Amino acid sequence: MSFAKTKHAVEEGDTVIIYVNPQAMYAIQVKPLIATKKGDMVENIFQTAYGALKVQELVGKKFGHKVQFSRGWGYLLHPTPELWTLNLLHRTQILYTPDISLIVMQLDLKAGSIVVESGTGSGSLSHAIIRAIAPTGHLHTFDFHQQRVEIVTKEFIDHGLETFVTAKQRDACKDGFDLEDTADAVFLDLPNPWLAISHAVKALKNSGGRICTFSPCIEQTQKTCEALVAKGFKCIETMECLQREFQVKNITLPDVDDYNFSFSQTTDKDSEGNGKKEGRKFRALLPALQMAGHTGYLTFATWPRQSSVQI
Amino acid sequence: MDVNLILNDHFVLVQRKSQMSLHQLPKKEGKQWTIKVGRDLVDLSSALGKPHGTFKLSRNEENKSKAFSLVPSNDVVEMKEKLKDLNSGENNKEIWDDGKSQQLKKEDIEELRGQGLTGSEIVTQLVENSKTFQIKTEFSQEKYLSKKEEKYSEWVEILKPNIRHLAKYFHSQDPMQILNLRPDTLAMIMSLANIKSNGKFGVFDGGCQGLVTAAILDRIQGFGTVWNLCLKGISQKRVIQAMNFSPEQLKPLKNANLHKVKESLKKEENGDGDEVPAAKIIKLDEDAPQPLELGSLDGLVVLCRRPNAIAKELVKLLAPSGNFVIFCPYSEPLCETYTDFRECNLAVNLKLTEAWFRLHQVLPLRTHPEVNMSGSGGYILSGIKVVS
Repeated sequence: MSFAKTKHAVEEGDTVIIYVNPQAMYAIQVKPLIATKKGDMVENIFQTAYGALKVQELVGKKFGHKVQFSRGWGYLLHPTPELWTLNLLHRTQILYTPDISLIVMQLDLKAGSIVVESGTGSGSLSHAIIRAIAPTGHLHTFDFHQQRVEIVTKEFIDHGLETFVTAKQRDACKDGFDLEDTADAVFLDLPNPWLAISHAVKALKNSGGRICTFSPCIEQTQKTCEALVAKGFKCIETMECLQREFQVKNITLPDVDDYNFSFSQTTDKDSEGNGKKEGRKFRALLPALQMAGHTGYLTFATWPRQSSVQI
Repeated sequence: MDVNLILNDHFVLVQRKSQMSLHQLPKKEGKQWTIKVGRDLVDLSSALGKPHGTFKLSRNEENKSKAFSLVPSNDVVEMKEKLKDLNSGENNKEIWDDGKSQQLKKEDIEELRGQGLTGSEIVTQLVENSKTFQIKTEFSQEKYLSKKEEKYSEWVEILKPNIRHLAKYFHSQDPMQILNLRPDTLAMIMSLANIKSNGKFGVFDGGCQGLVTAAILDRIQGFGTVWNLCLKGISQKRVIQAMNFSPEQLKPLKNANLHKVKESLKKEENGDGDEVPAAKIIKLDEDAPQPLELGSLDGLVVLCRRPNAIAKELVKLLAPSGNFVIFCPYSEPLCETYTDFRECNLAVNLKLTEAWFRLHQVLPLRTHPEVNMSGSGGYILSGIKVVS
């Protein structure tokens, strides 16, 4: 519920984010009972490293404030597509915020846009698209895997987003989208996106639109670009983006004899003339030692206004 | 309410191949407006009333030295298609770069331009007068023709400005005019600040020409509120103007002079019945904003070279669990802000990041990352406000 509208306090049925630290965050749906593996309904108690949390007690609690566990506390956060991306259950490899943000901007998405997406996957990008196009736009999302469609449909309903999205099972490459002259933008995250280009053209508005394909491999990207050129797309651009994260640390380097040296003839004493040892202190911006180096190549192109369209 | 015609007083982007420029058409109808596209003079007002799209530079037959006029065109011909029947070579073994391959001199080309030859005709002349063109490889020929088209192509695109184009345009013209806010970093800001319709957002623009404010207004299409938070009267609004927003699209934009906000908050606190002397009103727009309250915003974006300590103050405007993004072209000020926020327990999920971005050339047998790349696009400190 709380995806669709900003709330100050939790209501039953809301999906909320429990934040303990950057590596420990959890998405929880607030309901009194939860099903066990066997299918029995038990009291919904969520376990964390700092103790248990009775989920139903979250009702009425304010977002942005602390929540108590039996042996500690965390913060209760309002869900956003970014937090959802970090905490959703992976049914497939997902897209992360850097790629998602670039896709939303480069497809010119805004309130009122009609978007076609295939494949839906785990719904990571879908949530960000819906945020951009609501309340007047619509997302048509397709996946050829029946179970994935069912799971994501339930999530959209749980999150109060069902009016903005239609999720269907469909093999986009074989059967297309069954949409004509409808979409402002088409997004393809498929193993063989070049096979869906004609279907994308049919779905796009004759007054013009944008297309994006995401492919981990350069061979896929090459084939896709050839298909886009052949079909008549313009402004074809391929790009990639990554995030570099930094830690901020106060570093102290003690003045150690190991590094005391000079070619000129001086005494053992330092330049100040006293024998005092002083360390060097500074605030350092430390990049992570390991970072994500590649997710995929994003190819964008414009479907130009067709000459059949009268202005 | 999508205006797809080129109108008076509106901004357009004029693009020839990879060169782009931003122009505003004159307010008055009937006034001619000549612009420079590369080395050519073009009468932009000849495109008035037509839909955005591809136009051909068309010469006035009587007076060849006048500016080109613009004629809608669907028949763009690529030089590589036109000249594809010419011979090509295997490699550059016999090609010597002595600057003497082209037999036409600068003056000869100028004469051809003066005679009224079209761009395609000039390029054809250059090819015919090149001693090496037909021994170049096919790929080399394509590259040569592409380069010539950049200068001589007789087709231009007249584009309706959108955030994607404007972000790229402003960043490529002079990055520090928008604090080096590269388009992909702008895209991250839009996500991390949780920009959505029917939300309440605040933007403190310390030198980005209104790019972020315009991007938010464009995204929300009239649904919600965007507070333009300012201290001084220098209004950042060039990009907002260039977007040709309609009144409905501009409706969410409200100006809030922070000094006035402080006064009105003090007034409420003291319950003063006394008339407080009106604070010096710096006029930006005709808006008389409803008072902006602490803890009311869903998202906050701060863009400036010196975020300390204003960012910490502005976060007070954010509701608990609200998202903030602080952008700075330099990393050192953000280190201080990061440490400050940490020590005061103002936020969770605090991240200091930089976006890395690269374009690729994808052509058959010629696929590789582009040779030039952006070295930096600014730094972002993002987080979620909490009440500890």
